[in-house]
Amino acid sequence: MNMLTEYQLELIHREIDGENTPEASAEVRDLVASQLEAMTLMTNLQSLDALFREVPYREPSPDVRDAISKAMSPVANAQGTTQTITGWAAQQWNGVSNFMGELMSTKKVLLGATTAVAVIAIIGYALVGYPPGTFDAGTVGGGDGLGGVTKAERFKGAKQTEADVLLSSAEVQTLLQDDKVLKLIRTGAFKEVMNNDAFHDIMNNEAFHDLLSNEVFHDLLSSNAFHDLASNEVFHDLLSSNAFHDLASNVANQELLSNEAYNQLANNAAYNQLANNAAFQQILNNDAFQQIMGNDVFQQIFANDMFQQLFSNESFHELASNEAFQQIMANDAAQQLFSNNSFQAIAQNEAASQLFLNEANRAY
Amino acid sequence: MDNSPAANDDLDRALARRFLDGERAAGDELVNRYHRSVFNVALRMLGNVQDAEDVTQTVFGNAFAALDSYDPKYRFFSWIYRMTVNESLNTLKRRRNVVSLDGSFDVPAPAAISQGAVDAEDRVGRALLELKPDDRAVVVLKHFVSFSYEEISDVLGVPVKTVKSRLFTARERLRESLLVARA
Repeated sequence: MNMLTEYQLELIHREIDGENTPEASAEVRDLVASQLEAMTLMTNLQSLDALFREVPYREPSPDVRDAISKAMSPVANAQGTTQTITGWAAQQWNGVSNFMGELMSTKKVLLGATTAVAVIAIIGYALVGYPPGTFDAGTVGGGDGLGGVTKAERFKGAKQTEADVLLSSAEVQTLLQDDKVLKLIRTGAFKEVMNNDAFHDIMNNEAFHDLLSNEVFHDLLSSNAFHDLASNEVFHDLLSSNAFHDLASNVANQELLSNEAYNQLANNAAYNQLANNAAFQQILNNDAFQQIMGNDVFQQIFANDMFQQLFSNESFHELASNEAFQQIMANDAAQQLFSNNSFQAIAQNEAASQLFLNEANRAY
Repeated sequence: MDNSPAANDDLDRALARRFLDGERAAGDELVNRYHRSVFNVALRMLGNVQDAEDVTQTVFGNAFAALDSYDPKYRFFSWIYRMTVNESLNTLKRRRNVVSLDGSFDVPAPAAISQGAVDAEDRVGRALLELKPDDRAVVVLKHFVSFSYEEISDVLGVPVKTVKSRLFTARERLRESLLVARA
């Protein structure tokens, strides 16, 4: 039976661990000298400590060092390019595609101010409602054990099981070690999104994954003009206006920007309000915006079928109008998380998403 | 074991920064500084050389891939050891799904190690595997990396009070398995 108090027990353990002050150490010496239990505990802990010290320090195989070194190269090369565009900004352009394609290919005559209103509205729609993905030149985790940075790849093959996703994903654990990500995951909004069917559907959408692997799209994202516009505060202010949101909803409900739809848009109150918006006027005169409007790469992207498929997807629209989704889209940590391959795999499945949330709650 | 890297935390931060700026040699230096101790922590957590090597590779792969998200106001070694412990715990979870922990201690002794050291490693290794993984992590960081309570708290993301509680509980069990039972 142990007669030592908790305080005395801690005092002795602290002594072994070198955590005591000189005064506390003196107290331990007195205790050990006066109580048999204290002396026995002290002796045992010293023996344990000595035994641990006998355990040899092991050298890993040289192959380990080599493997780490090899895995490090592409990461080093990717630094500076992967972070120049935030995942968030990168996604803003996706939703523009369909309507812009239509405008650029068939309605060049409308490239005046009125068209620009629609363009910005569509861009804005994309800004608030497009599920981000792996647009960066490099993505954390290449799918192998090393988790090196490799180019984002399309999802292929059979879906992972819930256990596979959670237990094989070192990347996920890395993400969970990031305080910002953990904080995000534990928000109600994030949990709501992870339980949203539309979110899972869009994560399973082939057009979405085609978009992520589109080389031309990557080229656009690396353009200076894109960077400039995406980081323009006025542009963001404009897109966060109520008028914009109203207009974006209107645009989003049009399958194609036909003449009729376009006319409806032009007569829309929100549209007219936006057209008179000072921020909008600034954007129209923004060099970056004008460069993008005339950019060949931009037009190529819009001519791609995948954009139309994606933009006409009901899940996409549903997700875009989800307040929780819009809320988390404003979070930087969400970009890091959503651009992670493992997370995307998890997000394809509701049950796996729930397990992921449980894992996040268990972390720390 | 390895020198505690805490004293060179400023150096770690500088190396991380230089690597992010494109200086590959800085990344090599970070690996040189930590890969042995990361391996040894994983080895004591897992009791298996191959698994520990896999964890070491994974940890560095993930660390470099996510280095841009490393916040320099935190200590680098806390970050890298936290990943090591977490990855080791993940490995244990995976292992539980396929094989019993009984007899899973698998650390072949190199020829250069004395018989006494081999015996100590075998005894301690098996006793560690009998501990709960969370308790084991505290013991490993305390006895094999010589971290303070506060440093362990940083690495594991738990309060110092929890660190002490786990450590003292684990030592009681180790006393039973390594000293009392043997006597």
